[in-house]
Amino acid sequence: MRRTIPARLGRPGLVVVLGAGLAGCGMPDPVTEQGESVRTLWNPTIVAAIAVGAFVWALALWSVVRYRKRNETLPTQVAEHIPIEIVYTVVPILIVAGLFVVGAATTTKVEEKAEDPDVVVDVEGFQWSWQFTYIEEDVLVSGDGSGTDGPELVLPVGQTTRLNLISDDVAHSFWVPEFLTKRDLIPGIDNEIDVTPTETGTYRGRCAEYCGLDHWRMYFSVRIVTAEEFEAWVAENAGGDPVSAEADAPEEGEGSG
Amino acid sequence: MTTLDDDLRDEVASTPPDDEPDRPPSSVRGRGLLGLLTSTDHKVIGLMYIVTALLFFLLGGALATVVRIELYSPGTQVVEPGAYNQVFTMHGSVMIYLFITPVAFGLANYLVPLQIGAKEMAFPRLNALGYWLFLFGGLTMVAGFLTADGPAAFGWTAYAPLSEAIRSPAIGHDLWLFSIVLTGTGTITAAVNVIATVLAMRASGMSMFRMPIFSWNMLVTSVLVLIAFPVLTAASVMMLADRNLDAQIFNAEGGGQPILWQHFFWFFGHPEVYIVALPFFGIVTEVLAVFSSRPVFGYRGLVLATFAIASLSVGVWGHHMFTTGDAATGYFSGLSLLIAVPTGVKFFNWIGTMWGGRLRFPTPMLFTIGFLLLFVMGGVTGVVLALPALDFQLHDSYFVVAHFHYVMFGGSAFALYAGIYYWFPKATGRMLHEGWGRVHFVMTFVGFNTTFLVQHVLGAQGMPRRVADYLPEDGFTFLNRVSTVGALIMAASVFPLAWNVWRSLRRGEVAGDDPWEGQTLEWATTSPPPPHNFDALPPIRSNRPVWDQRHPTRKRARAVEAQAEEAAT
Ligand code: HEM
Ligand SMILES: [Cu+2]
Ligand SMILES: [Cu+2]
Repeated sequence: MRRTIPARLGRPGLVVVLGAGLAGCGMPDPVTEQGESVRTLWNPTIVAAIAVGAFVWALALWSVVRYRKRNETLPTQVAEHIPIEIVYTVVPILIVAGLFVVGAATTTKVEEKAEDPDVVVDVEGFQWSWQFTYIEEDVLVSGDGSGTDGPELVLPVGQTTRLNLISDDVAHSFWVPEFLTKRDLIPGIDNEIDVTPTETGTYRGRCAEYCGLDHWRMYFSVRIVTAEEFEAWVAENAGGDPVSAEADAPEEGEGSG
Repeated sequence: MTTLDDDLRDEVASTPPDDEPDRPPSSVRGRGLLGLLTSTDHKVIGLMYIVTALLFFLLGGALATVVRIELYSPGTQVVEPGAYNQVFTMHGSVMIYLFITPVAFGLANYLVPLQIGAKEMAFPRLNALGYWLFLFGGLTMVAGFLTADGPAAFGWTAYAPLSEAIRSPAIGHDLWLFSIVLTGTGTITAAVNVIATVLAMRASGMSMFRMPIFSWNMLVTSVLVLIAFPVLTAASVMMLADRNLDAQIFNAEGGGQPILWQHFFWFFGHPEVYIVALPFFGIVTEVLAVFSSRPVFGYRGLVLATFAIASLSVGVWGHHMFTTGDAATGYFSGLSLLIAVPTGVKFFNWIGTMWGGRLRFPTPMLFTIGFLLLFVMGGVTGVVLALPALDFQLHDSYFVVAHFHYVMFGGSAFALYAGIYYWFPKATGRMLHEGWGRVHFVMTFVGFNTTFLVQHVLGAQGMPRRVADYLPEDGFTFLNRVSTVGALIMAASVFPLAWNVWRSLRRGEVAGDDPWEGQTLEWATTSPPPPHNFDALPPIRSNRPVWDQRHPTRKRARAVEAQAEEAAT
């Protein structure tokens, strides 16, 4: 399964640049409902950002070209122009007000919690790996911090999973780039997010909050499976020993000091 | 034995009265090293600040180059993860605490008295104290490199509980925290001095609304320092207590609250963003007016925008904490978006100053145009990050690294370069070489964009910041290589600058008092200025007295206007 990651992500760099610049603007295709909302906000926002940037570039470069010194006559000494000043104060206020409204709407949607999630998983981060506890299903998946694969979080597609994010040592952050979201695990703070996967597949997750020596390789993977596969996986692993984290041999030992 | 009082009395006795301008005042006690070490002349201290900060900049740049070389490929290039973490921590810390903040106060020390027509700062000795706190505080942080376990490795933000002694035992972390206390106190000292100077030492005729924008911005910056730095200093003392006295303030196991550190830190950290931006906004405002042969467009609006930025900036710290779940997203998102408005207003002031002007493009102006083009990109990505739903994806990724380098390097450091080329003739009496200046500009501009543009894409795709390595199958390799090549170009760009300074100090073209057709008071005195700053001040009837003097008809017109105004009131 993990072998699919390189296939998904190992696109040649040039294609990434072009593709990112033109269509996707960088963010991966979302694989959750929540992620889709983020993507719906990201696309117009980044276009607006580029447009504003381009507008300022155009004004600045136009002034540079048009008003470069040509002769010795002094330019008019305009020091203010109140109507223009009012316009360039009010227009930005309107723009950010609009952004605020759409931004807040998406944030609410992304943060929405199901009344009764289908699956609940305690996600615990520690220096430097993860442990996933399926409370109802009685399955425990734990990493041991070796290698660069990390433990596997298995989620059923089309169902809503509640992730309780907890840490007892230092701050970490749960990030699956394809979910288009992340949230911190901080001692003393209980965070939780809901995810509703829309596509099966395996994705790499990472710790995004700097947490010390091996932060860089505090990986895990997420495998999204059909409901039947999920039941089978639960049945196979319930009550037993913790699911072995590093099923695959570490790919490279170097740089893992 | 002499007491402090004796000293003071001697000094008062030896201070020359105003009508003896050619006797050096007591603040310059001698020449050579001893003169430097004991000087309380604001210009000497200002230059020492600037030179020291630039040396720290070189160190920070060298560390950045190590970071970029390490990330050239997956696997270990030059440093193992442990050392990498120290290097990126020290890079960020040196750049923020030892370079960009102090260099702004160096410029303020040198320029504010000159711009407002004062002879000195309000508290010359306090000023010297501030510098020495900065220098020794800085050396304390860097001394971590000399310890067995190396310097701090908890990032420039030192988040708890990672920064607690059990997680980060090395002594380098304590040195780091002591350094923050020392340099922070130095910065507070400098800020008090700037505020007192601006409020109390202005020449007659220099009303607040005739002050150059740089001086205005330093005043507001200093007020922000008084709000922000005590919080950081106090938090660092608390962390030191946690580490060494078992205080448990930020330790959850001992009943403390780790997240509190983040609130303290960012309550300092966001105003800090403007502390290292406003002074540089001041520089570009001055440069644009001079090289457009124009007054600053919308001067009053610009000052108001500065107030607005400063006030809002103390209420937006939570946007650094959206992903913690402990910051109200709606409130912090709204205020953060709002702060973009006064920043946008400034852009229009700047463009309005150029619009219809008569533009010249020596090196200071090139860097200023570079500033306009790059800083706006940092601005718009900041707006993107102010939307919590997007920040959830982008936070702590390379998108953020790109964003804040566009702000702090493309913005502040470019403006600093503009300021260096602009005021070098004032401080040294000689011009920097134009040709080398252009080479420096082109290399910096190209290198900068090559390094940081691609990082937006890396971050959005999923590359976290502060990682010592990544995997080949991540697909990050190509863009990281581009970025590293850019960093090497930037590293190389130091050489034309260094050579330029070296040669120009010796055989640069002699500048004269006012090589750029300046507008503000620092151009009314000699280059370099005498110890007492001015032999005579031009009349101050507007926010650009030197311009008025150069254009006497306008000056007369203004004088008549002013008289009429006075008569009317
Ligand atoms: C000389 C060119 C520069 C290069 C090539 C560079 C490169 C980098 C890189 C690659 C990182 C990310 C390190 C990581 O996350 O592992 C970084 C972090 C950082 N840089 Fe720079 N940088 C440069 C200049 C500056 C300047 C001028 C400033 C500020 C005035 C600055 C402030 C910072 C800060 C605050 C961090 C965050 C450190 C941390 O995460 O603790 N950098 N820099
Ligand atoms: Cu981590
Ligand atoms: Cu901020």
